[in-house]
Amino acid sequence: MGEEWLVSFEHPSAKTFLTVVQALGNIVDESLMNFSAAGLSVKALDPAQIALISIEIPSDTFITYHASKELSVGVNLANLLKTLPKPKKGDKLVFRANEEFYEFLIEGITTKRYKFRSVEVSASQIPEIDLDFKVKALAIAKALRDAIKDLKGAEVITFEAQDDKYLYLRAPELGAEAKLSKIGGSLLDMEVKEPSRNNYDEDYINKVLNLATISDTIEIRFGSGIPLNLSFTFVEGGSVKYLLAPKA
Amino acid sequence: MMQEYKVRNKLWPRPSIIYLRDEIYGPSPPSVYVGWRNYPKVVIGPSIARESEHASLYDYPESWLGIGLGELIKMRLSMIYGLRKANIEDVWSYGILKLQEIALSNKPVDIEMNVLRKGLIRPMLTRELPPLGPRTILQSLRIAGNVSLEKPIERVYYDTDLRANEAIIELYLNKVPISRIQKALSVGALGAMRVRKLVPTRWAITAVDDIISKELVKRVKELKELNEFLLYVGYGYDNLFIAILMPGPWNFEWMEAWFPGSAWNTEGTKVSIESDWEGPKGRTTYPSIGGCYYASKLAVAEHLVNGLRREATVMLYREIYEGFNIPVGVWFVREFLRRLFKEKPRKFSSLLEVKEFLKKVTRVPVDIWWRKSYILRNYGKGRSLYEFIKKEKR
Repeated sequence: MGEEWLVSFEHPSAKTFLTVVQALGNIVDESLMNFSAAGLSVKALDPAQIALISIEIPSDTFITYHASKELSVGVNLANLLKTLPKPKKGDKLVFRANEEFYEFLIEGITTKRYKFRSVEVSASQIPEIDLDFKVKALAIAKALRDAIKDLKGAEVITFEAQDDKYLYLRAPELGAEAKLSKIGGSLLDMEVKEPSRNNYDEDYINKVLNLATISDTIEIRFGSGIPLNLSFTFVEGGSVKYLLAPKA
Repeated sequence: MMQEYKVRNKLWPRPSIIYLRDEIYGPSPPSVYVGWRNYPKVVIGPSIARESEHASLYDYPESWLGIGLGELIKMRLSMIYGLRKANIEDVWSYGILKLQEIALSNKPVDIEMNVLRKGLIRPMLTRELPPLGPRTILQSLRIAGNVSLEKPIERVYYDTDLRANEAIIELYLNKVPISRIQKALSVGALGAMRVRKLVPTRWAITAVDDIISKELVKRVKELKELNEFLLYVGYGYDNLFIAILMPGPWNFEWMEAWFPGSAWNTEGTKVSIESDWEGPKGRTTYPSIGGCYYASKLAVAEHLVNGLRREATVMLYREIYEGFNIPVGVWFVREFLRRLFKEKPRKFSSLLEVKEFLKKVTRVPVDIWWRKSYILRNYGKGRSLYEFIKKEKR
């Protein structure tokens, strides 16, 4: 003990935080967690360059947040997720890091502490992708999660919107279809600039689908021939943006 | 496909005359051959090795890479087979049960064969099978030595409710060598009681490779995806093997480039390139390229499951040069790749870097075979986010 920490925070829900880390771990094995006065940000491109995940958790989301200087912590996610236990509801999470080590404390009835050495992760340039999405829909998180879960085994999920009324998720392989609409109560808002339709990889959508359990709404944006953007905004604060390239 | 090589006498010395006596006594490695012609009325019979000291080596492909191809062919062609006719469903007849006993043994078995003096068939070299020595007609057979069975083999042999593919997987998981499993399947020692059959050796080899690799691929798909590009390059016996493992779901391609003068392109003037591939769902048809496809798939799936513990998109490429002018069987591909995967791979961060590196490695210009490969041509196509960055910039 007695170590000097450059960054530390306390998050009200270990479950929420680790669900986000799990989603990140589904995409990359190693990643840089960047801490600044504004909060925590992570950006990672999967090795096949199909999906991009950006996590932003502003400092005011945490119970306490302290970053004495900007710090990037190289985290071996594969290892971390294997080691950390499944947190209980109500468990609090404390994170501390310096240039060499980082540690997680999961505080519930008992307090568990896990300390890791940071790994070298090259800070590769991940360029900004700015796309003109033709369809924008705000969906109830649970509704979208259930719809995608019901298309299990589809391999490819087709997103289609012709007008402002319905958003279709189709599984051509299974001959199945899920319909989301404002009238049905699964969509809160929908805007279609031009009718669009595109295929996305089911596996890649499933990698982040658990984020729906910790968010209220998900913003879906897509268009013909361009990537799919899912934005999860969390109840406790913070957000994850997930960009997924269309299937060939 | 099913071509056979007639070996000219000047190339291969005639087997020693001592084998042509009516009675032959010696160790069987063990090895029992089941022919495929005239199926379902096939020929079946054991073979005898020339020496008793290394007899087991005569039919044990797992250790053949170390001994050199010339030596191997000499050794294989010195074995003599005594064959008799049998219907594939006769697996419960006394004669076949005796052959099963020989084939399942894990040590060489001393046998005595009574064969006809005439009717010696010349040695045979095929793409699927290891080289086969001269064959003659078997009149009677006696097991003179002791037969010893391994526990896993004994268990599946006496379990007449266990289906053949389950038995094969059980044996594989119990670390029984592939060649032994192939022998067991071939002599009709596996499967549910009523459906046990003799399986021609060349079909059994492919069937076992196929069943095991399918099971391994199932496991590969449960693993996490690879996160870098790995390249394995191996050269030996006038063959070049290249394995490219890429991040992505299980996809597999096997490509062969036969140079003029090599075993399957003896009369051609151009390099002949063939390939076959499968997606994550596997394939339902027999690959045009033949049994090597399954042997190579097994080797790479085994490496992904036991070695890397990762899922990957796999491209395997082989160049076969002039010097490799005798087909030796698919074991060569399987064992060569298994050995190659024990080496340390080169790591790359993009497929382009891999291609750049290979420019100096392959004799066929890399652009040519790259374009012929379904997987390399389509890898990441229309799926990479980088495409959208470029699009936006323009």
